[in-house]
Amino acid sequence: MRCDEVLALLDDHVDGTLAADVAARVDHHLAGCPGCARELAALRRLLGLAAGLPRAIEPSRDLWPGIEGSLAARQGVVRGRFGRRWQRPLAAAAAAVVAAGVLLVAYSLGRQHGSARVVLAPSASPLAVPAGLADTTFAAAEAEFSQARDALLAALEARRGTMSQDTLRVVDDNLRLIDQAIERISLALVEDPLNPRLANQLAAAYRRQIALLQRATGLPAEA
Amino acid sequence: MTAVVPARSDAVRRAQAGDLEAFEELYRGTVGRVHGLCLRMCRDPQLAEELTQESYIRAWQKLASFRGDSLFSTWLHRIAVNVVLGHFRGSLRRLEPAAGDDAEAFEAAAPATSGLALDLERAIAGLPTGARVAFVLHDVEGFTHDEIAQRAGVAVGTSKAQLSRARRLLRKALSP
Repeated sequence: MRCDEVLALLDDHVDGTLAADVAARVDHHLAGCPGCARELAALRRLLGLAAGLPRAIEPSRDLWPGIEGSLAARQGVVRGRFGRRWQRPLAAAAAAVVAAGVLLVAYSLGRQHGSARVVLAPSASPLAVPAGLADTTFAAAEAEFSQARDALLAALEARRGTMSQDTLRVVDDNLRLIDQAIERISLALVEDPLNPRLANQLAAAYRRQIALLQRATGLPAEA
Repeated sequence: MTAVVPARSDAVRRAQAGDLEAFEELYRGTVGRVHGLCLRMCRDPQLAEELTQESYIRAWQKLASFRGDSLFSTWLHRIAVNVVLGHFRGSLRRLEPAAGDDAEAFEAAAPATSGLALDLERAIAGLPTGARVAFVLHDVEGFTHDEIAQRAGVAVGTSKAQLSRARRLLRKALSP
């Protein structure tokens, strides 16, 4: 075989995909050709380096809050013991919240960035607004969320005596989990304040919490 | 740290039942490998993170279809490959060489150092897209040409040609 024929077959040769008789002819040529043998050695060295590369490369930040937020926003997924059975009612309750306008403002989050300020609408791109307006909107949104949440928590406290321990445990577990998600997303927003996905995830978490409280306070008496 | 997740681990079963906490457990154990694949294939850190997130979202949506015929991590890895190839499919005409997608472009993107000092990771990142995808999937991740061709929607010969091209360019970059 000529050198150019052998070099054209080197990749298949190292991959072990040549027919036995062809592989034998390539080996025969390599044994007597230092130039082709060097090419083979370089190829094997490259493949050795590639095989030694670490397969795992950790991301520079925790990507889970973004994944969790997207799943929650798309499907109304709630962690833990509620499982899929609760997804549809929660999503419906969340939709009711949106329709009533209780948290409409909470979807708009203002974040300062240099001299400009930014508002993130529910599913829109960031929109620049005049300085001062965004912070006001953000503060108003959080105040409305807190007001709605406090009122519903008070209603839940008043109803605890009428609810079974199992139900209360499920409600408390999920409230805690949503609180943790809100905390994680808020921390991520501190690191990346202009990320529209994080802002939407935070709004979705707020919505989930209000929907959960509405659902819990509307349950029929059990005890 | 990436763990090998058995096909039917408790976390897989709970995640399939809709438990997001269990799915987070699976994420924690596998994200390094999924992100590593996405980063090497697309070479853009921000895009790699987005594709990693999309891979897990896609996996959650398809969890019910996971039958345990392979390791969960293997199943997830294949979803990630499809997500990345799907991203390229729209903008880069699959693995077919594009105009200007040649050795000269590779040399311009490769680091200025030479020989043993040349970082293989950086050299891979400097490869043209088709060659880089073929090299990462075949020589780093262990996919066969048939698998690459099927997932990328190209002929087996295209995958082989791109791999050969990648190896040739990398050998040149790594030579003293």
